[in-house]
Amino acid sequence: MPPPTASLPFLRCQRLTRFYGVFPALREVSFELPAGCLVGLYGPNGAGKSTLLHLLAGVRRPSSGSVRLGDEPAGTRAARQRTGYLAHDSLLHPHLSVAENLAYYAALYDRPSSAVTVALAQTRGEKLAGLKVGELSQGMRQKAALARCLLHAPQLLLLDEPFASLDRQTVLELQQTLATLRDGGMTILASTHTPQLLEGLADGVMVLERGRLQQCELGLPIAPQGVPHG
Amino acid sequence: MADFRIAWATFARDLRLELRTRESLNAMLFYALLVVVIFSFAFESEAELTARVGGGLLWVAFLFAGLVALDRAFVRELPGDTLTGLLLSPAPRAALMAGKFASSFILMLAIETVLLPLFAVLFNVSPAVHWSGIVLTVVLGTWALAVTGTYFSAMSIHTRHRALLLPLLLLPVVIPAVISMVQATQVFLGRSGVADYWWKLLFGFDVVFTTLGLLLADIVLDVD
Repeated sequence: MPPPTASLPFLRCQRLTRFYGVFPALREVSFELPAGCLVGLYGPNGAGKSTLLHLLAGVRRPSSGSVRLGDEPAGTRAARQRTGYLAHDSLLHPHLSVAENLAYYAALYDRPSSAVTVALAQTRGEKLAGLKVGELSQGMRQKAALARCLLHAPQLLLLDEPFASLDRQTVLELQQTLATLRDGGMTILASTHTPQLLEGLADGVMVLERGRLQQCELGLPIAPQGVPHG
Repeated sequence: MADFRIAWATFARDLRLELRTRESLNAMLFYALLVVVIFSFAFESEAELTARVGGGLLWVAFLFAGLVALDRAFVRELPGDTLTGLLLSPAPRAALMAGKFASSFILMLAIETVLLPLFAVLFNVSPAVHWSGIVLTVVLGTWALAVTGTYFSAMSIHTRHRALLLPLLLLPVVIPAVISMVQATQVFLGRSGVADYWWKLLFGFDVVFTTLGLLLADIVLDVD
């Protein structure tokens, strides 16, 4: 699959809506993001940040609306191959070592086992390889989880509260890693309750409130009909 | 080739996890031993009686033990929410399911390998019975249970009463296979001929449900 072109929108959401039962967690969210940008996703608890990331990652399906990564709808095999998703949980099995977990994911993404070493180096987590995930600290686990996301060299990286419960040093390391990835052309959307953590790093801001997109800078907010506001 | 690699990696990972935690193996062995030993108290160890009811007793023990392994097939993916990790990946669902089928099958077979000689001793099974026939029946029957049980385990993973739901879903579906397993085993324990008919039935069940399980894997391992 060709790499995304920087000038064209890489991630495109149109009128994205998701209901849980009768509760609308996300309502008519439309935006576009170009390739190679890092955007902060802000909003209070229950604003719909995690739901939006779930829909973009293909963990859940929208009730209505659409998500496209380049020319692929989200949730297809090709789109999954291009997406990395850092969830609240590490998605790593606690009884396996970091290397064993990553080797399994490498197989799932049809990557060579050497990708494990590369991904751990990207997150400065080389020393974690032999440790069991269940015995890792929160910061170590976050590094291992990020390495899982990077195993298949995704073009879109979705981060759900990546700085939660991390100490200052680990936050700094993670910020540096994200800057490097963004400079390498990766599109990154990171949700956080603390906008200061992405200050000077994020190229844009999206604010969700009660399931609606209240603000979208850099990514062009588009009208429900699909016409860009400019 | 990539699909085979995914299936193999899933199989190897599941077995590694089981050997490390022993969550299924210990419970399976306990249930199976309990059934065989209690029945051995209830029935006198006569070769004639074993020839009449031994097949049923053996498969009750195997089925009980198997349900534990089958329940764990996808429960194993709950710690760390690794099930979401599987569903996020572009891996073909049929390959994931094939790996799960194989790991459930090997776990069940491992317990049955321990249990079968014990059953022979406790129930005074004649050494002259057609052991290779019994072993083939065990292999075919275990595959039938592993395939259908693993599929229903995936189906029930997000339900609240999954431990109850799995046998409720599984047992009615596997009735033809269970009848075939018991009858074929009975034929060999009683040294009363060949079990070609039951084997054919069991083999047909295995082929149909393996194919269905792989074809329908996309439905049962789908996102919300």
